[in-house]
Amino acid sequence: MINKLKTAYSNYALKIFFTLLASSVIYSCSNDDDPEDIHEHENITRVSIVFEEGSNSETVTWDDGSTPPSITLDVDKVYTASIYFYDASNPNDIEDITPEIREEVNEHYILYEKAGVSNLAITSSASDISGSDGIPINMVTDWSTGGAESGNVVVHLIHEPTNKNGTTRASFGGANDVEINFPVTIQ
Amino acid sequence: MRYLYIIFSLLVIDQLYAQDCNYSFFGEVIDLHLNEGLSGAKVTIDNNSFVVSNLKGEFSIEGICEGEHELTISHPNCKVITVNIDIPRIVAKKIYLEHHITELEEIIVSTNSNKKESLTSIEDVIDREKILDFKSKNFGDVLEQLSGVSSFKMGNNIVKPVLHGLTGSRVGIINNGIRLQDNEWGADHAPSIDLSNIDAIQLIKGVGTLRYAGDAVAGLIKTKSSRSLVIDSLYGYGSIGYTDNGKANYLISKIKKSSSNGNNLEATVSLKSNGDYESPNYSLSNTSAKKIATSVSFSKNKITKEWGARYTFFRNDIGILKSAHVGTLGDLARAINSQDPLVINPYSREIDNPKQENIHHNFSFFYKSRTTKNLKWDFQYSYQSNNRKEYDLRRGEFRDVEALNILLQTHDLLFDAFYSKNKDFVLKSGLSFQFQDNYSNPRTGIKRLIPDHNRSKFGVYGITEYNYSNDFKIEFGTRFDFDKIDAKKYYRISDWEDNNYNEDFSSTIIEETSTLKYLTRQIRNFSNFSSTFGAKKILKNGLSTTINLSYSTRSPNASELFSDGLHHSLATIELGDLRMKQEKGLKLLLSLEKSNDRLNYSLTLYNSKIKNFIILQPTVDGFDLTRRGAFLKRKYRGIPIVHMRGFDFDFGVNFSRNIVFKSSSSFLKAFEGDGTPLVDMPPFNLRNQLDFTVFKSNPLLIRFSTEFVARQINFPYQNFMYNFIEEGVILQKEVDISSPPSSYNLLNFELKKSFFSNLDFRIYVENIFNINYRNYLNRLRFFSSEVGRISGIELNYTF
Repeated sequence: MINKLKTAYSNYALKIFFTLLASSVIYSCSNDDDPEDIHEHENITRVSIVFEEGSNSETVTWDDGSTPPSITLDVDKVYTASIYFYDASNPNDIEDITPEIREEVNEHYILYEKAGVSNLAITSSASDISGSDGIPINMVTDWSTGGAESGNVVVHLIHEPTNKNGTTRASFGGANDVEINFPVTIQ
Repeated sequence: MRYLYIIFSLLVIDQLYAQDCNYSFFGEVIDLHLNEGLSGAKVTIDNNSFVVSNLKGEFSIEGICEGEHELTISHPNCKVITVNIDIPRIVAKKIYLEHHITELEEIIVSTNSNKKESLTSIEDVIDREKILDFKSKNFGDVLEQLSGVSSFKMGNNIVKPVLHGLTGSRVGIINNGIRLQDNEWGADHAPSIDLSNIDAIQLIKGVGTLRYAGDAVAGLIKTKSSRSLVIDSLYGYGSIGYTDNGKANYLISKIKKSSSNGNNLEATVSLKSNGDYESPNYSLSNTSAKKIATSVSFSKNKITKEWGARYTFFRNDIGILKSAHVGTLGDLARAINSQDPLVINPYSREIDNPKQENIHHNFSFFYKSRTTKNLKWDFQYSYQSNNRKEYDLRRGEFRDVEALNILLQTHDLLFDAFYSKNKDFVLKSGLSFQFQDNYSNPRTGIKRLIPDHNRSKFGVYGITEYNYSNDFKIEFGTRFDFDKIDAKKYYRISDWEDNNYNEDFSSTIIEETSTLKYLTRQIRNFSNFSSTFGAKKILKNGLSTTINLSYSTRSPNASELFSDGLHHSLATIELGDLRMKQEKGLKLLLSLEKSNDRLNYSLTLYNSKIKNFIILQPTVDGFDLTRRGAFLKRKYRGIPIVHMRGFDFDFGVNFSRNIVFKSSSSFLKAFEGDGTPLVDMPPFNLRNQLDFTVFKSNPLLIRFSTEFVARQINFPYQNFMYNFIEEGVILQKEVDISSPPSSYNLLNFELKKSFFSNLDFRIYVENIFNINYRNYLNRLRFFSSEVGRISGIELNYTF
C-alpha cells in the first residue's frame, strides 16, 4: 500500500508541486514593482465660508477631524457668505473642489439648517448660481441678522437631491457630501 | 516395422486432436467506482453459452477447453466489455465494469442514494429538481431552502449564503473540486457562480471538509456539474421565463452530448435581466440587474482514466437601491427615522450608480486515474480571475469611473489520492497549492480599500475512514496549511501613528512619500492546523446517530489585515489591523437521522467555540460627530471567545405517493464570552412545503409552501445619538440601528404541468398576500421594505 501511494506521489504530485513552488518563488521575487501612490482629490476635508459686510471680510474654516469653529456676527447686519470646498488631505497639494460643484450645479444643493437663531435669515444671494431648473443652490447667500441670540447653523452639501423645494433636510433626499454643525453667535 | 509406424502415427494424431477440456475458469466482475462485486452480470463465452455472476460478482466456467476464448461481459447500465483469455495460461481474472446511472431520465436524488462525502459526514443535499426550479435565481436563494442556511443580503440581487450564522471566508464554496475565490470577505460580495451549470449541491456541516479546506469554520457548500458518461446520448433543455415584479425575463439552456467512446461535451448559457423591483407600497428605485453566464466543458472517460477541461464565465451588473446611498451618519439617521425610502422614482430598467459590476472567469483541467484497483488519484489545475468594480455617485472627471476595482487571480493545483485496501478501510490524502495575486487598480483615484498583494498557500491532508462493522463507522483526519501573504501598502502617517504601528512595524516601512504617507511591505506567514473526527452508529429501524468534531484554523484575510478606506457601497470606513491573529474554532455536532418509507427526520445539534473571532465592529469614535459627521467607522477586531450553538431540524412525511410534506427549521444563539450577542445572526426560521402530485403520462404538481421568520431577540446594542433639527430646534435623539424588524410569514404557491412528455410549464406566486416586511439580514432594511409579491411563469423544453 505504501509503495503504491509513494509511486503515485513521487511520479506525479511532488514533481509538479515543487516545480510550481519554485516558479512561484521566482515570480514573487521578480514582481517587485511598487504600487502607484494614489492622489485623492474628491474628499471634502476643508470647508471655508467667507463673510463679507461692507469692507470687512472674515473667513471661517473647518478642517476634517477638528471641531467646527464658531461663527460670530454682529446684530442687524447683512453679510454675503460665499462657501468653498477643498480636499486638503495632502497639505502640500490642496485641491479646490468648488469649481467642480459649480459645473455640476444641477446635482448639488447647499442647505443651511438653523437651530435657535430665529432672528437670522439665510437666503440665496443675487450672485448665486442656479441649475437648469432655475433654482439657486446657495453657493452665495445673504445672512441677515436681527437681535442678539446664539444657536447653530448646520451646513449640508447635498449630492443628487431628489428635489430642491424642501424645507427640512429629509425632504431634499440625496446624500450628504459634508454636514457641519457651526455654533453661531450674533451679538 | 510398418505396423509400429501406423500405431505411432495414430497415437500422435490422437494427441493432436484430443484437447484437454477439463479446465475451470474463475472470474469476478467488479464495479469500478464502488469497488464492489457486481451481481447479475452476464458472461457469454465465445458467443455460445453464458453464465451469470452471483451476489458477490463471482462466476465460474467449468469444462472449458484449453486455447483462446472470448468472454463478453454485459450488465444493465454498463458498457459491454470483451475480454480474451488463454486457457490454461490464465485461469482467473478480475473484470472491472463502469456501472453508472443514466441521466436521460429525471431522477430525484434523495439523501439516501446520493454518494456522501465521507463515512460519517453530516450533510444535506439539494435535489436536482429543486436546482432546476431555482435556476433563474441567485445561488444563495436555493441554498436558503436547507435548514441551517440563511442569506445575508444587500437587496434582492446580492445574496450571500450564511451557514450556522457564519458567512464570507468562513463558508467555503467548492465548485467541481476547486474553491471559489472571489473576494468573498465583502459583506456586499455575493458568490460569482450561476446555478445553470450546477447539477448537485451538497452542504457539509462538519467532517468531510478537510479535503478542500482547513479554514471552513462553518462548513462547506459543494457544487458539482454533471458526470461524464460512456454511452451515446444527447440531453438538454431550454427554458424561458418571466416574472411580473421587476419585469424580469430570462433564458437558460443546457446541452450535453456523450458518446460510447467516452467523449462528453457540455455547454450551458444563462441570460437574465430585470428592472426595478416593487415592494408592497413603493418602487425600489435602482434595483435593476443583468446577468450573463456561460460554460463549456469537454471530457473523455476511458473508465480507467478520465480527463477533461472546463471554462465558465459569469458576469453580473447590479444596481444598488438609490436610497441606500448614504454620505454621512446624518443620512443614515434620517433614513432610519423615515419609514419610506427617501428616493422613489418611477419604474426603470436602467442600472444607475451606485452599482456593481462583477466578472468571473474560470478555466480548469482535470485528470483522474483509475488504473489500479486499490488506488485512485485525481489531479486538477484551475485558474480563476475575478474582477469587482463598484461604482458610486461621484463628481467631475470621475463621474463614470468606478470607486473600487479589484482583480483577483488565483491558480490552484490539487492532487488527491484514495487508497482502499478493502471495502472497510479508505485512506484519503492529498496536496494542494494555491497562488493568488490581487491588484487594486489605481485608476479609481480613490485610496485602495485593500492593497496589492500576493498570497500562496500549501496544504497537505490525510483522512482515514474505517468501516468498523456494518453498523459502526469511524473517521479521522488532519490537515496542515501554510499560508503566506505579501502586500505593499500605503499608510497615511497620521493613521500609522494613531495605530501605534511604529512600535512593532517600523521595519516594514520602505519609504516616506512627499504626500505624507509611508509605503510599507507587509509579509505574514501563517501555519494552520486543522483536524476532524467522526463516528456514526447505525441503529435499528433506519435510525442512525452521528457525532462530528472539527477543529479549524483560519488565517485573517486581506480585508481583515489591511482594510483601509471607504467601502462606498456600504458607506463605511473599514479598517484592518496589522496585528490580527488567526481564528481557531472547535465545532461539535450531533445528529440523529431516521428514514423509512413513510417518515424521515434529521436533527442536528451543534456547538462551536471560536477563539479570536474576527469581526468588524464600530470604533469608539465611529460616531464622532465633531468630525465630518463622517461615515460609520468600523474596525476589524478579534473577539477573544465566541460561542455559537443551535439546531437544524428537518422532517418529511410521505402520506402517499401523491402527497408529500416536508418541513425544515433552524435556530441558533451566538454570543461573546461576556454574554453580548453577536450582530446579524439569523433568527429562528421554519419552512413548510406540501406537494400534491397527480401521476399521469403528463404529471401535474401543485405545491404550497410557507416561510416563517421570527423576530431576532438576541442582538447587541449599537445605537448612537444624533442631533436632528426639527422646527428650528436641535433635538438629540437615539438612532436605533440595532433593533431587528418584526417576524413575518410568507405563503407561496407553485404549479407544474407537463405536456407532450418533453414540455413543462410552471407558474408560481411568492408572497401571495403581498406582505410588507423587513429582513434582519438584509443590509438595506434601514432604507426600504422587502420585495412584495412575485408572480412568474416558465416554460421548459427537455430533449
